[in-house]
Amino acid sequence: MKSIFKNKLNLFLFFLLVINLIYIKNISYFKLEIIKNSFNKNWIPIYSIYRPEVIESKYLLNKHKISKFNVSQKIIGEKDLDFSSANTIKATDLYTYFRIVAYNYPIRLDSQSKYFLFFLNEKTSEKCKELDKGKYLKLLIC
Amino acid sequence: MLKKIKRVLKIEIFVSILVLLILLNYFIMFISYNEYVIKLIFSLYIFTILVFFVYKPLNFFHLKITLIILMIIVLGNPTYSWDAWTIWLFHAKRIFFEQSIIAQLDGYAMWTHNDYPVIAPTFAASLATLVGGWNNIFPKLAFLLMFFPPLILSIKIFNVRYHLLFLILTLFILNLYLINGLVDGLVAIYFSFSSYLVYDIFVNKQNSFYYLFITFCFFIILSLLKNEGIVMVTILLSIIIIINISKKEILQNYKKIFFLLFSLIPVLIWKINCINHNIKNDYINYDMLNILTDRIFDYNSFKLIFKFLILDTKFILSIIFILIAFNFTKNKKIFYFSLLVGMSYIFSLFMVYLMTPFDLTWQLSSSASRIIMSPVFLFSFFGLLQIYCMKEKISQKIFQMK
Repeated sequence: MKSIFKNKLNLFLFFLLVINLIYIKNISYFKLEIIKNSFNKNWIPIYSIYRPEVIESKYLLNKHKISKFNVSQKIIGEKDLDFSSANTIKATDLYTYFRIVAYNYPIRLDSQSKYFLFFLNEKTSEKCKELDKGKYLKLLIC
Repeated sequence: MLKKIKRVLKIEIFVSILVLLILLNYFIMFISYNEYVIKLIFSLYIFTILVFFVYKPLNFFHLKITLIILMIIVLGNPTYSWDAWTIWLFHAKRIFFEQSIIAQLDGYAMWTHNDYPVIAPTFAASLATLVGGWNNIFPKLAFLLMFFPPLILSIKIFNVRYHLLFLILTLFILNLYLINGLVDGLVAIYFSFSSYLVYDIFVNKQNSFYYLFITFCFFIILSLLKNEGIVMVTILLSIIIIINISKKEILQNYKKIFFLLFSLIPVLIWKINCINHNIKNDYINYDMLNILTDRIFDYNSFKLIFKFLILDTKFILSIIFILIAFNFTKNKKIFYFSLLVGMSYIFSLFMVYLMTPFDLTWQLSSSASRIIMSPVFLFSFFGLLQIYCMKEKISQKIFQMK
């Protein structure tokens, strides 16, 4: 520590180092609320997930103690995407689908499951029975 | 002098213990998921770091303060990067919940690149095991903890002033990659330090058991971080063989080379596991040779790759830096070595991008800035090393004259 504070050039470099760290903190999405809850297992990651429907999906699945679920085609988005085409990639929004799968794990997505998540405004088959609904999604048994 | 040697040895021992614990954690999980053993290994890792923080003879105040601040920033940041939550933390989550290192090989969520090696997710899963639960934030801390061995090793390489410069460069180049849950920063730092160790052992003829051991461990970690790491280790091993053949020292160093070649075994085991579970790589999955032959004669593909990789601002800056450093120091050994390693890697990047089955513009725009970080860090590190070596030589001369 002495070698830094005794020498003016070292002190200047140390100052630059601190500036760099402050810069990293500023360009990141640092929040005190996150640090307070960083080890809280029940904390809902509202700053990590920017679509509320993803957070709601977990709430609905947990509420009904569902271990395997399915999602509507509208949530999945396009089927059999062609990633060799830039236009297709640009037009595709897979965030909701991917994030629902990743966030809800260990609750698994299973194409055989009878529990379906739909967007609230989606039309559903008459064979399906609504179990629950939230602000953005509804849970059905089909 | 004796005091200095002892200090150097202490650093090497610290680094050896840390890398050994990272690897032990991985191999133990590979054999079986024993919660108590995993907790013990991770606790030992944290204990070693704590000893480093409080141990007075290793008085690198600025490194310690940097690491503490980075840990606070990591814990205060959301997990928003696409690859962080779809690949690295998702794999860690799977390992943690399924209590198996090969959890991702069951084919679930294929879009998460299930073929990627898992040393970093395993370490994050171990932290979650120690904590006793999962959330989206703290497992990222494990990735930052994996930066510690090379960063601690760096205090052996530079003196205080140059170490401050090294840390400034590291923060400037890696910045958010130190905290955002991606492993590209780890790949960059392990690649540069592995290259440095290879240089010191085979060019500078540094003969230390710990050095060779650390190189071996760094190679294993690098190859198990990401697929790029496998290419990097292969390049470094090839360069070691080329150097030894050109200097006619292959017989003299064959034991060391043979030992280092063994570092590829863990990643080979992982890849065999992937093949056994029918998990394919994006590149090998498609008709890569046809794509390569189509693109290799297409001028526009080269232009595009050149634009994204070579015209990257940080890459240009690092090239200018190493050239200026060479101009002043004339240290051919370091310069040519770093150039050989860096250029080999950039050549392999060109080949990989020419083989991509995805749209080239999309692939480059989504990955080039991350991928080019490794050569940027490599050139900057070796540029700084050139200047430091020259300064050391001058001060040694002055000391001898006195």
